[in-house]
Amino acid sequence: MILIPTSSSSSSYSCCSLPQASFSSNSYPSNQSLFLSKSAYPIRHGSRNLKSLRLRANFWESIRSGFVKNNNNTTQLVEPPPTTQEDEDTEPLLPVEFTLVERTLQDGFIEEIIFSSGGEIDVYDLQTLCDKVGWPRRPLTKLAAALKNSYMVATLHSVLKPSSSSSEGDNEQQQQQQNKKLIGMARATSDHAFNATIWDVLVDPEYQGQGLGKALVEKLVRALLQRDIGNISLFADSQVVDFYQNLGFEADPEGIKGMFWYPK
Amino acid sequence: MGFAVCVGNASLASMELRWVRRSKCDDAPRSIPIFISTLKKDVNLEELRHLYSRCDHSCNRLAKNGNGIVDMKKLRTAISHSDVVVSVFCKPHHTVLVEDDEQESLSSKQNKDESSLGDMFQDVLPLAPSNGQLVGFGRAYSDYGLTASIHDLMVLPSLQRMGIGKLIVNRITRLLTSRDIYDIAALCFEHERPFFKACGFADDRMGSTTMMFTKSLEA
Repeated sequence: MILIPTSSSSSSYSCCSLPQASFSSNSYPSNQSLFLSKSAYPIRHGSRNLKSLRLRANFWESIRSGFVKNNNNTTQLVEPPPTTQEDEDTEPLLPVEFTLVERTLQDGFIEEIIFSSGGEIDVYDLQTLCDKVGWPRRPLTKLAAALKNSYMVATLHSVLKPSSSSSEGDNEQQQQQQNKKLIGMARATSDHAFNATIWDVLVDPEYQGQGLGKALVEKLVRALLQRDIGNISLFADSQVVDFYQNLGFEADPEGIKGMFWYPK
Repeated sequence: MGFAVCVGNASLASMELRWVRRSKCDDAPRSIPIFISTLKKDVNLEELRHLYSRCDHSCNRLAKNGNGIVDMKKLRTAISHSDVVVSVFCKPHHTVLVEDDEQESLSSKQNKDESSLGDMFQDVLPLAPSNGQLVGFGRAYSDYGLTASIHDLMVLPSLQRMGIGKLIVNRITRLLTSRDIYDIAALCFEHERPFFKACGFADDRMGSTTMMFTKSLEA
């Protein structure tokens, strides 16, 4: 995509920003920030901010109660009846964030592992993480679009804080911004009603083996089930089949297999 | 008869008239006109639900989740959030005409003569989603970037083996590839595998295992 200044007096550069345009492989908008924000791509359905405020408490409580593992998990997600006749009447997914693990490191720092869903992800951070686990590189624009349009994206960040609680509030926040590191992600695509597929589950190798991946997938599955999405599927590499089996997944249930399209 | 709708850079016809035929060795091949539409507004939810039951297809893949009547509200949500929706219509009298060819020659010759005028009139009427009956359907959802999943592919049993299913799959993959999505997956039962294989699908070359969540949510 070549930007050519027009010859007219009001020279304006037109930039293709349609989410459905096809991107050629060597035209990454490298000078644009690919930091995802809610306004980067037009959302297909309108966002219901009013409804989301009312739902926030219920949703958060149900997620937290699931994490705390109550024996009698009776909190129910109460959905207000849809008042409009529009097609898109599902309540929007609310940003959720809470601390999964907190531990003190040797050098006196406190490390917090924060689970968050529905938040913003820096695509460059994600690319770095994918490199760390050894995945092949994928075009950044496609990655950004995929994240934007996935039904749920759950991330794990590690935040380092100095253990001594100082009175310099601003400084600490600055430090937090700098020391927040993406260490895990999982995302799911769905038709919002019946089916969902989980793609791209990854955890930084330095943080593997601690149950973080398990927590990621468990939260994701729980959130999907709470939305009454019954068919949750995924395609597991051979070395992680056991990992998913322990989480309640079954290989080829009832003879269902996934097939992929390979054009000749 | 069709008009083009611009989607991004690609111009694809969103409604098209086609002919399909079943080739049988001992019988004259029957061609019937079908109408393919990729517009969501052409999907009549009631008809769709009827098609689900006629094809004995359930929205819940796993039997343990229940095979009851499709929930309309969920169906509407699913359709509105599916990126690609393909519906195939044909004239109502054609769904019956092609059904049992063996019995036709025996008993219905007389009936045929009587209703031939009505059939001729029906044949002349142009086919449109409004006067056609939904006989085939397929949908896919994606993340508009990397991956897509095809679901709920079905064709009326009496009209199977005429190439309608393949037409639907090809239309879905064409629409997805025009949006630069090439990672297209389809979950299929054992008996559906030969069909998908014929449409160009195959087992994952990376050797991944398909897994589904089957644990029931008690405690």
